[in-house]
Amino acid sequence: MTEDDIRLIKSAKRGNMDAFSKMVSNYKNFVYRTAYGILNHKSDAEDVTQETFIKVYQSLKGLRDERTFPSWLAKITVRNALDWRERHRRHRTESYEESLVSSGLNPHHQSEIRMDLYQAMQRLGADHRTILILRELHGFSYDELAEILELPVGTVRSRLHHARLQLRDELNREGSV
Amino acid sequence: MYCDFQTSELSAYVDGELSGEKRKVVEHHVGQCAECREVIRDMQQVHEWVLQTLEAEVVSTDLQPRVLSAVSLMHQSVQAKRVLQLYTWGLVVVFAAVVWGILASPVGRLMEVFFRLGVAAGHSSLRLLGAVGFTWSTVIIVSSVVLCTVCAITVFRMLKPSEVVL
Repeated sequence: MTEDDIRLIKSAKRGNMDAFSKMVSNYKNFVYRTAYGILNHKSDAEDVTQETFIKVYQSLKGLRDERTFPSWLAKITVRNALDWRERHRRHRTESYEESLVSSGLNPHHQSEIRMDLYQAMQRLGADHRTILILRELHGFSYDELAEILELPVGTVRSRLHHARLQLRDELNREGSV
Repeated sequence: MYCDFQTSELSAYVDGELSGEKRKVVEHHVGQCAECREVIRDMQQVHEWVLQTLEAEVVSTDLQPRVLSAVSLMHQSVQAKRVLQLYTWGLVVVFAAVVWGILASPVGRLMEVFFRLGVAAGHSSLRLLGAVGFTWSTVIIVSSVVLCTVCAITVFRMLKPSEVVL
């Protein structure tokens, strides 16, 4: 986190809408990718992103240390995404082709690994997917993961390990590893 | 052959989350165990793939305006609520000041006298009813009601324009 980010968050906490807008711009992909990794559905992930920023706006004043903003934001995002998943208990899995088209990328030029990875991730449990995304994508430390997921560090370590092994096995089945 | 060392220590090693002593133990083992080296390679590859795959995902361009519009609406509603609260408190203060002003004026003194008289009359009536007992209280109340009704009817008739008999 840069000093600029900290200044921005402090300013947003005081109710500055321009600062909040800049904050949304800086962190929208952070939130969206986390939600997308958990839900694997583009429009659901966007709804969760919107909901998350509304919650951030409502509770930003309660954030004591601005340096912990990324893990605080990740905690809200994960909670929202998991709640959303509970509320909408349905199998809404976007096809890989649909996902690529909606992201504006040409499906024919994407590596097969990406498709395999999505399919393999889909077969992991939500707990495993969540911890993998938080670690592999955002690089949170074990202590931060423990804080975000409200788990002991030992559980974080073993869950992450099992998630990685399971994903590797799933990718092996797909023939990517 | 299955290596017994394949535990969460390997993940922690890959993530740089092991303390000096434990790190040395894992390093020493990995140096000798091809199977664990392969697991570590797989983990690093999985990390690269997850990172590359999800980093390619970007939110649609219309999301930010949507979020800001929702938050802006909420911001306005919060501001409106604050203004309303301010106005309400202002009205309460003005009302209290007006009431105090009236009570402090000669009109207020006169109102106070009438109020005290009313309270005293109420107290006396209650004490009278308590002293005479239930039966007499009932008689007095019923008689008062009848008397008041008769008075009201009489006043009403007096005020009503009389009909001219031809």
